[in-house]
This record gives sequence, C-alpha cells and structure tokens, in this order.
Amino acid sequence: MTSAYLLAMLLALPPSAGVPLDVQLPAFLKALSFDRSLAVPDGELTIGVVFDPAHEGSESAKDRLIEIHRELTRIRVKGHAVHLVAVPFGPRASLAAAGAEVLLVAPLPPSAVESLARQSEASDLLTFSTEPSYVDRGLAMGMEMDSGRPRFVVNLAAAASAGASFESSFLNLCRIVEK
Amino acid sequence: MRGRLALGAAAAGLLLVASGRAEAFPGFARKYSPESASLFTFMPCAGCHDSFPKLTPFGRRFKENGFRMDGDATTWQEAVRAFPVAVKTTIFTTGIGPDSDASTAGIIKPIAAAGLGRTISFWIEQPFDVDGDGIERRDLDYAWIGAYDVLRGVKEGILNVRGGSFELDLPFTQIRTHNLFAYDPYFLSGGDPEWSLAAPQRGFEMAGRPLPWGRYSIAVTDSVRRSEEYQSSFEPDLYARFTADFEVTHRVGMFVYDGSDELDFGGVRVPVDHTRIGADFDLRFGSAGASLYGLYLWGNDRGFYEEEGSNGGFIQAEKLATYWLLLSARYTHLSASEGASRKAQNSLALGVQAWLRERIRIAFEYRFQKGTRPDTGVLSVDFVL
Repeated sequence: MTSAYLLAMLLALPPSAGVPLDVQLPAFLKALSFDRSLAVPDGELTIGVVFDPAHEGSESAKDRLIEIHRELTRIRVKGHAVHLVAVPFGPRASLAAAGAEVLLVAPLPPSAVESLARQSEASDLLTFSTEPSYVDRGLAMGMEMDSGRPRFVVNLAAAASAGASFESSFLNLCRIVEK
Repeated sequence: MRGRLALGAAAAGLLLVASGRAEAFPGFARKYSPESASLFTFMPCAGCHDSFPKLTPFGRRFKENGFRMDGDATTWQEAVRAFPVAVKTTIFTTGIGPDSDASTAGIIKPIAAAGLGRTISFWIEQPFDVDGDGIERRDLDYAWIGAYDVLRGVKEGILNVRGGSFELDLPFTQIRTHNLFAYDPYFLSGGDPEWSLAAPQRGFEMAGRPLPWGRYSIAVTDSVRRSEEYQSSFEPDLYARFTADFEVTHRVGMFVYDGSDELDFGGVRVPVDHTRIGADFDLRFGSAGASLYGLYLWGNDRGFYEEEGSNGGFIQAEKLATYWLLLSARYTHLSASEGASRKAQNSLALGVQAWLRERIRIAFEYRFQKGTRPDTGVLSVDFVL
C-alpha cells in the first residue's frame, strides 16, 4: 500500500507553477519576438502544446492554454498570426510530425521531461515550459515567480541547441541556467 | 487651421518619440512583467486590447475579475510596488467635411487602477481638457472601489461588489470606446439634456458569474446631474444585465434600466423617468482578425420633454487588415417619437485605426448620415504611457 502511494507520488504531476497560465502565454509570445533566429516559413507561427493525455492535469492545462490563446484575438509574433495545435506526448510520439515551429509544454510526468528534452533538441524545436523546474532539466525556457513578479528562466544550452538566438536585452531579464 | 497644424505637429512628435526601442509602461502590464530597469513590458498591449482600448475576451475577463489573472496570488504590496498608474493623452480634431463645427482639443487622463491582493480593486481617473484656453479639470466621474469574489469560500466568482461613480455595465463601453463617434442609441434621452444611458452613475453594483458561461450585474444608482436647474433629489435607478458566453470569444446579452428623478426646474418639481430594454451580441473571430457586434434598445421617456419614445441600435463590423491596421464600419438606426410623429435618423460611420509601437493610435472616422446632422469626420491621436 505504502509503495503504491509512493509510486503515485512519483508519477504525480508537479504542483502548479507560481505564474498563472494567463500571464505565461502572452509573455511567452512576446519573448519569441526577441529570438533573432525564429523562422516562420508559411506566415503563421504554429506552436505545439505538448501534453500527456494520460494525466488529467496535463490535459486540462493544454485546454486552458488553447482557450487563453483564443481569447487573445489580436496577438501576433513578429507580425505573424499564431496557431496552437495539441501535441500528445508519449513513448512513440513524433514531435516533428505536428508541424510546429515551437513547443509549449504543459505539466508532464517527471519521467517524460528528459525524453521530451532529447526529442526537441533532435528536432531543433524551442521549448517553453509552463513548469519552471523543467528548464533546469533540459527544456529551453520557462517562467517563475521572483519576489512576487514573474521572471523568465532560460537554459542557454537547450535554447542554442534548438537554434534560438535571443537578444541580450531579453536575456538580461532572465535567470540563466547554464548546463 | 492652426489647430489642425498643431494636431499634425503633435502626431509627428509622437512618431518621433515612438521610433526608439523603448515602449511605454501601461499600468496593468507592468504588474505581470519581469522586474526590469528597461522600458518594455512582457504583457503585450494586444493581449488585453483588441483594438485599443477595446478589450479582447482575455482583457474582458481580466477586467471582470477586478484586474486579476486567474490564479493571481500577488499581494496588495506587490501590486502597489508595480505602480499601477497610466496616463492617456488624446488629441482630436472634429468637423472634417461639410460640418463647419470644427474644433481641435486634447484630453490628458491620469488613471490609477489595480487589484490589490485577492479581494480589493479600485479605479480612479481624472481627465483634464486641454485647448486654446488652457487646461481645465473635469469632474471626477469615474472613481470606484470594489470587493471581488467575496463569496469564494462558497463558490468562486459569484459575487463582486463595487461602489462609487462608474459607468453602468453597458454592452459596449462608451467612456472607453475605441470608436471616435459615440454609440448614438445610448444618447436617446427623450430630450432630457442631462441624462443618458452612458452617463456616469453613482451607487453600487453587484456582479458575478454563477455559471462558467453566464454573468450578471445589477446596479442601484442615481444619475449624475450637474446643472443648477436640473438638481434632483435622490431617486434610485435600477440597471441589470445578463450575458452568456459561447465558443470562448462570443457573447450575447440583454439589459434593462428603469430610472426616475424629480427635477427642480425653475422652482417647479417635475417627475421624470427613463426606461430601457435591449439586447446585444459580440462575436469575435480571432483567427480572422474580425468582429461583428451590435445592440438594439427600446425605451420610453416620460416627463416634460419633447420626445417620448426612443428606439435605436447599431451593428458594427471590424477587420484587422494587418496586425496594426483596423478597418471598421458601423450602421446606426435611431427612431424617436415626438407626440404623434416619429423621427428616424440613420448613419454609416467608416473608420480606420493604426497602431504604432502598441502605445500610439491614429484613428480617423467619417460619418455619413440622413437626418438633421451633416456628414462629418474626426481625426484622433492617442498615446498611452
């Protein structure tokens, strides 16, 4: 019984991030405008929302992100319209098949984070995590609370591997993870 | 002519100011932006503003939550440290076209507003008129304080209360409209010169969202009247509005108003009353950058004035030609009775609005109209800091 409880705890999703999703999504879209390398081939930026369909918390975060995006009726990135697509993540998932230029990551089971980091790096996809702790574990970007104000967290190595090149004026505002 | 030259010079000045890298601080965006000594914020204006200052559904929800994001846990001290102050400056010139009643003037409007902690919110704005005669302070018509989500222990979002001087929860705000011409149906008043549905009201309002898709607001207020001859005793007015949201971005609603006053008009006490009932819709097609909205209202005005029945409505279509350029068209129909006769007045207003660096808007509208008013145009430049 105890081991089942511990297993459940290990598989549980992390507690919700301090920065509300309402803040994270528009701020993330604005942060993308500071990526000098961001390419938008067909005039519309496609963002894949990566979630785990086996976890209700992950799926509800994905739904909420898509709903928030629909409410943001006029928002653009470098003048391009933004399109969100849901990308279920699992052992046989193919990130590249989603056709996304950037990935927005909903809460995932702990074991999935490193796997996602490897796959996104292999596919040259920039990742933004709604859970800031994932940035320390290999995803490229996230947001955390710092003295009551949101702050960006950037994993420079992961961002560079994805081909991102952020302006220094943006990086000066971030907590940098160097590993 | 000198006024229009001044407007042009001001517009050019603003363009120069805007040509740098820096962007201004709007009051709310700063709260949700990373600590920074630089001048940009990470909450884009376009997050909350569809066609500035018109709210997106996202911004509308933020406003209805007392200027809070869902899940916002910032304290009132943190909100105060974010310095929730903004200044809006508007320069406009009217009477472009056959209408010879031309004027150029400006408005400077400091605004302080915030959600302080989880419950308290406030809004206070103090406009100043600027014209050739100098600067003149307007009345403090929009200043209120509210307690939000006060029954969260029972159910979230079902009760917000606010009191002070505010605009009724109209389907489309008049005081903060993005359009240059007013929504005429609000100003059908039966000839009462000091009353309109869009005028500031003093009193209390309850509002909430008992259902995920449904919202209500009920206000008990008294109309603000200023002229000596129209000073009235306190007669409570009632306004109620109900809305239903669907497909995330769309909204339909209805509203009713019943207000009475007893006016002291030249020593004679005159009872008057205004009633309104109306319906509205607001459809946003975000991926197409388009919206379609409008309302129709029916009303009766009883008292000593020349008009007694007032109906009217409008329908407006908007389309973002590109992310910084909005085109609009509004058709308005008004019908007011005077004794046994009825006067109709129709108009078509075409508009274009452009944003520069998010904080600066240049807008032009031209109105073609049948009736007693001549065609006319308005040019406006807004700058928010």
